[in-house]
Amino acid sequence: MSEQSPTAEAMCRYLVSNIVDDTEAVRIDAVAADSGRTGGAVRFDVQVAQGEMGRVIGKRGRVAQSIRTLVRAAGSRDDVDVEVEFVD
Amino acid sequence: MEWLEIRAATLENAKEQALEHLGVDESDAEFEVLSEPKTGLFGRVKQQAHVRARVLPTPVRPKDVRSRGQGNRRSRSARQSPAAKPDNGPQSGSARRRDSAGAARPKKKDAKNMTDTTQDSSSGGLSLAEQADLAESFVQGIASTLGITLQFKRHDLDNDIMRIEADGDGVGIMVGRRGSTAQAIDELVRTVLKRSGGSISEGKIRMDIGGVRAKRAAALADFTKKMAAEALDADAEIALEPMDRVDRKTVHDTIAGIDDVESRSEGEDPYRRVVIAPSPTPPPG
Repeated sequence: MSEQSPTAEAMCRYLVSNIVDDTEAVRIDAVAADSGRTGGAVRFDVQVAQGEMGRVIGKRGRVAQSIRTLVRAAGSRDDVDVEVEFVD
Repeated sequence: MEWLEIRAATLENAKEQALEHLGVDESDAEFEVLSEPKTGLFGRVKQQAHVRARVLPTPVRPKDVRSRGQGNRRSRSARQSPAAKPDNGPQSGSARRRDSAGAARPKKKDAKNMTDTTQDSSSGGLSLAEQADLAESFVQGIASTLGITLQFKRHDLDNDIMRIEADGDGVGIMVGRRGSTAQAIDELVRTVLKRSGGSISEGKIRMDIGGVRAKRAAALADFTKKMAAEALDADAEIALEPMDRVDRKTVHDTIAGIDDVESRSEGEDPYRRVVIAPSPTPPPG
């Protein structure tokens, strides 16, 4: 669990797990990043089972963008800037 | 299901407009081309494309794939008139956990709430009430992560569409700037429903966080009326800002209720916009 933003990581895991079939394969790596925020910034590198990336990204990246929006909102709870990258 | 006739400059535009009016995905609609568009000199539209469209009637699912032998109970409850349906008032706040069997088996209370269950269950997906259960439980999961408890209120709209309003203390964080977070939640609800119920389920549930969608639709309808009046006054077309298809549908629906103006969508997403125009006066004879 990310020390910087437990709320954002919990959100990210919840959303991605609800979209993919293979929830066991969901991997989220938190990487510290620079930011002006008090709580700093973190980047989540999200990996899912092979073949499920399309589902997480969605048509024109809409699903991915929605996940980012919500994870960012959750990050604001911990005063942390959050980026989400989907790693293939 | 009623047929809807649309005329537009191109077949593609006509189809797009039809889908917006029907509020369904292309895969859930049926089209008939009544006439192809013809262009005259200098690409001027001589004859508009004329198509008719309707929501695809869903085939009856063979008996053996009906889920867990509930077919009879469902079709009985399906006969209940939608008007007699009670509003499923505020529900218990905590996230309702359900295993997969629970998700497929609605509680008795929910079974009463089903509108056209025969159609829904025959689609190979979930009934409307089951979709609503799933959507509420998914959204409550999001809220719980943020430490928020939500209350849900279900509203039935036309065409078997249900709007679920979610509200609770501190819901603002789930609405976001200009409703961006609320929109993201709605998008994810659609994704989750699609995944569990197949594409037919898509677009039946509208999750309205903090009631922003209803407020926005009302404000947009007012704005549209003003723009329609302006278009009529100036006898000129007015192009609105690009907006998503839900908002475009609100505009088209509003325009449909106003005499002497018509609307069409132009451009490609995310820049697709509605143009409001005074209706052309029919040629003499």
